[in-house]
Amino acid sequence: MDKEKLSVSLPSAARWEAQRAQFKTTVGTDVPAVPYGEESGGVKGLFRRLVRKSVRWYAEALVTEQNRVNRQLSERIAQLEARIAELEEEKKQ
Amino acid sequence: MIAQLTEALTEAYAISAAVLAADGLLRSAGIPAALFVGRGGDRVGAGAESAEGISRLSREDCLLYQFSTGSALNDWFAAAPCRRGLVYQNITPAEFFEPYDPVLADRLRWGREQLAEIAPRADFAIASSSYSARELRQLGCERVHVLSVPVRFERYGEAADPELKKRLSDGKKNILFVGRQAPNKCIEDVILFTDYYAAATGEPCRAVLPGERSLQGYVRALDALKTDIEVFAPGRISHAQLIAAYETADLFLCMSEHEGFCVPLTESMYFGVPVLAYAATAVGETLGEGAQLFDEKDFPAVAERMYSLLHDEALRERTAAAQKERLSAFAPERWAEQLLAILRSEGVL
Repeated sequence: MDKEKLSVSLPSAARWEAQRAQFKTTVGTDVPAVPYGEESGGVKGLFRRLVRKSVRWYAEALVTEQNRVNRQLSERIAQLEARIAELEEEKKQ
Repeated sequence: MIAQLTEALTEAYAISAAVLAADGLLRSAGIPAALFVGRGGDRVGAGAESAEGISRLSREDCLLYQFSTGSALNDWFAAAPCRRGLVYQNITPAEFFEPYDPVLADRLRWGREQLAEIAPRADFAIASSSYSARELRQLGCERVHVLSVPVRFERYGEAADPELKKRLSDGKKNILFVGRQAPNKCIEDVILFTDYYAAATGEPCRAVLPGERSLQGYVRALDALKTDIEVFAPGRISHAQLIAAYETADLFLCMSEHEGFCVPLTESMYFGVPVLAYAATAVGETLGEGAQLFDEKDFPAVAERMYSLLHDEALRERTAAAQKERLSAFAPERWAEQLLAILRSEGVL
């Protein structure tokens, strides 16, 4: 092997390309219904994983909906605070 | 008074480090300063107040807001009665997290929507890179300054953890990447490209990957990769262990596809570790002139580059010299001068 350059006969990258492609297309596993933390093994860990899998489908929908509500509420609060600031300014004048 | 508002204060994160550095600078310069934190409990009571306190700011004050993600704080900032400065280190595109954490992905999307609303309403903005500055200008923010993230060089002179240093000094080539194990950082590419390199050269290698491992779906996928190299992924490590990782690294390999700045690049430069990086988003900008970049994630081509940087002494020396030259742009004194100059130019000081 040259000191500063690799040999031209590098191995085929097919195996690594395949792993890379598979990684990119694999959808992540559980979306936890409980906060992230160290998973325990044994019965407790198995129970947690089963609970997560079974509630995943509606937990995601609930959280997305709650985020939407939170967004609307925070926008409304910001509008109200701006209005209060205006009124206080008018009152000073 | 110059107040800062941030979602949370967690010392390991670049955003928090920037907030604390700015707070320290303002106070040491005798400038009245305040710190407000969104999530109650994080540093509240230790010099930081709860975010509700921003309601007492007046028109004479300035609020610097560290934008991070979708949050009600974004709307509070937009409605604040004082001069408003938006501080932006970029927000990771939601699609990276979609397969692993749809809830977080939704929050990131929300953040992007809010950024589009608040950027034009900020009186000025400070972006951590030209890459991020362009985004803000495109969103209609007229006055945008560029200021790098502050880097705490003084801590890097501390002693390395002797046990970890000994463990990593066993003759294997240590290919390092430091950062939270998140999809945008493409940790899987660091592992796979290192494995290919080891197979191509026959050199024993180790992928050294310190960084938080909280995104469980992604971490499980990483742990399931089939490789012949050792993968050392200890999660979050101590500062002394981090120094040991840098001191024993032979190469820093960055495969990230989205960075707003990337502090570990500057850390590598400080420790004289040659960096080879995929040229995405702000990575090339942080590395500066003479950076060792590539545009395509091609296994043989990247392996060639890795081999050159690991074995060509002249190239290693040229790269280290270029990196050291670039590092001077991030000197703490320079960062402090630039921040104060920006605040003066905006009439805040």
